[in-house]
Amino acid sequence: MSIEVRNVNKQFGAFRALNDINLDIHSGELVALLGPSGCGKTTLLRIIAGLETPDSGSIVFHGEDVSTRDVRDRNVGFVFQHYALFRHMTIFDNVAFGLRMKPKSERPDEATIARRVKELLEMVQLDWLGDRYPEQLSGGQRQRIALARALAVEPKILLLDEPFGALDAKVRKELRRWLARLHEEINLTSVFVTHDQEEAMEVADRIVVMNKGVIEQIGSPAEVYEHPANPFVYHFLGDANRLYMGEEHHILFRPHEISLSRNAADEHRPAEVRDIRPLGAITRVTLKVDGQEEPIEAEVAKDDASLVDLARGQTLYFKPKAGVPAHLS
Amino acid sequence: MLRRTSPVIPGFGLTLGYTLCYLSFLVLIPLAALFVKTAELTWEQFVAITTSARVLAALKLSFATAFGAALLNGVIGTLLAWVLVRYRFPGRKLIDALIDLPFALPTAVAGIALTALYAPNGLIGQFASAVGLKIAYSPLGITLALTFVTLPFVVRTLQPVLADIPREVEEAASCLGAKPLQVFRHVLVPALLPAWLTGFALAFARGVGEYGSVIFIAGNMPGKTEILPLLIMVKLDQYDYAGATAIGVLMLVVAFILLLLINLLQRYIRTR
Repeated sequence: MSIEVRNVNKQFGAFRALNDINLDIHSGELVALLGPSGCGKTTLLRIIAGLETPDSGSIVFHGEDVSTRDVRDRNVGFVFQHYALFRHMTIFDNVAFGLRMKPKSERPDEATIARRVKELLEMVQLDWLGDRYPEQLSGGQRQRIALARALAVEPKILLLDEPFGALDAKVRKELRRWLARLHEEINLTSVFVTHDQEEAMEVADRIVVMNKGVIEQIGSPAEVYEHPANPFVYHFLGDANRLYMGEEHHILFRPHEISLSRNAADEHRPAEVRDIRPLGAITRVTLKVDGQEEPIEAEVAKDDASLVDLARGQTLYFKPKAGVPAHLS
Repeated sequence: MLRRTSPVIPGFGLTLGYTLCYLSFLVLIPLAALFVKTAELTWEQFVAITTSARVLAALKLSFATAFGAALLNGVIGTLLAWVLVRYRFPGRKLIDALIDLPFALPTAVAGIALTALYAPNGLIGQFASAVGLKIAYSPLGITLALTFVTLPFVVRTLQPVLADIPREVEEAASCLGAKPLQVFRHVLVPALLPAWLTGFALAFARGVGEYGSVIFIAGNMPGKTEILPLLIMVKLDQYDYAGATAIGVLMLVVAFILLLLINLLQRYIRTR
C-alpha cells in the first residue's frame, strides 16, 4: 500500500516540528526517515500512523485520504522504541491482543487466534516464550514480540519508531538485518525512524534525510551517500574531513577517500601522525596538518603499505582522492 | 522468610527486632488488651451485647457507609488521579496539594463544616431538601463525611502507578484497533486494579473507624444514624468498659475479615 504525505505542517507551541512535508512512499518499500533528534522524523511517523494530527496537509494511503481517520481505523502496525508491551499480559496475550479487540463479527475464534499467535511467534523465532511475561524477556526479544503483536492484525503498513534504539550494538545489528529479511518475506510497506545513518544505509531501500522540520534529500542509500544534496546531508551520512586550501577555501572528503604515502609524492601534503587506531579491517590514522587546527582522519586498509612500522610523531604524506569543493559548505 | 537480600539496610536481626518491638507497643499490646478486657465478660454476655439490635444496626451502618464512601472515592479518586497525572493545567499543583488537606484538617472541623453546608437549612442542603433529599442527619451525610475524610487514599495510591504507565502502551492498544473503552478495560484497569484495591481497602478501613467528622453530621439517632464508634463512646460514658471493648472486638474481627478478603482478592489478581 502506497503512502503519500501532502503539504503536512505541524507546530508544537512556537516550535515548528514539520514544515510543508511532501513525501511519496511506494507500495512494498522499506523507507528510513533519517535525521538528528528534534528534526521531526518521529512526528512525521506519528502523523502517518494517526497518533498525531497535522495542523494542515493530508495523508493518503493507496489513493485514499485517511487524514480524518482514527488511528485504529488506519490498519497500520506501529512499533515503539520502548516496546510498549502490556506488562500484565503474557507474551501470548500480547500478540493476541489485536485479534481479540476486533468487533465480534470479525473476531476469529480462540482456536484460530491460538494458531495465528503461534505462527507469529514462530516467525519472530520466539514461540517458546508464549507463557512468559514481558519483564522476563531481553530487550531484543521484547522488540521482536512488539513486532509480532503489530503484525497480528495484518496491517498493510508497518511503522517503526527507532525500533532498535534501546538495544545494545550487537543485538541491534542482528535485529536490523533480520528486519530487512522479514520485510522481504512479507509484503508490507514499511517506514522506520532512525538517527543512525549506518542503520538507514544497511536496511532501507530509500532514505529520507530530514533536518529541522524539512526534508533535505530523498534517495537510495547510494544516491544520498555519493551525491549528497547539501553539506548537511554530506555531514550527516558519514564522517568528513575539512582540508583548508588557502584562506577561505576548503574541501570536504571522507576519511577513506585518501591516499597515504611515506615519501613525498605528487600533490601529497605532509602531515604529522598523531594517533594510529587499528579498527579491524581498517586502521584509522589521525593527522595534524600545518596551518589548520582541525585534524585529518584517514581510514585505510590495515595492510596499506604506508602503515608498515608507522609510529606517532612521524611524517606522512596524504592526498584526498575525491572531495567536495568548498562551494558546498 | 529469613532471606537476607537487602544490603542497603543492614542487620536483618536488628531491623526485624525493632519492627516487632514497635509493632508490639503500638498495635499488638493495645489490641491484646482489648481482648483481655473483653474476656471479663462471659460468652453469653458477649453474644448478648454484640447481637443487640442497636449494635447490629450500628454495625451495618458503619460498614455500609464506609463501603459506600470507599466505593465513591474509588470513582472520584481514580478520576482525580487521572486528571492530575495525565494533564497539565494551571492550578494543577494547587489541586494536588489540596488532596491531602482532609488528612491535615481536624476531622471535627470537617464534620461541622459539612453539617453547616448540607443541613436542611444549609447552603447546599436547602436545595436538596427542596427536592425531598435529606443529606445531613442521614446515612447519606455519613457517607459524605467519610468520603471527604478518606479522599486521599485512592488518589495517592493510584498516582504513582498511573504515572508509571507509559502513554505509548495506550497508543499501542489503539494502533491494534482497541476502542477507548477497550483500552480502559483491557489495558488500564488490569494495571491499576491492585493499587486501586489497596486505596479502596485503606479508605474503607479508615472509614469504619472514623469518629470525629461523623458524629456532627450523623444526628446520632440510635438504630438509624448511630455509628459503632459512637456506640463505644456511649458505653464508655456509662462506665461499661467491658461492653465497649466487646463492640471494639466485634469491629476488629469484621474489619479484619474484610481486609483479609481484599488482600486475597489482590493476590488472586496478581497471580492470575
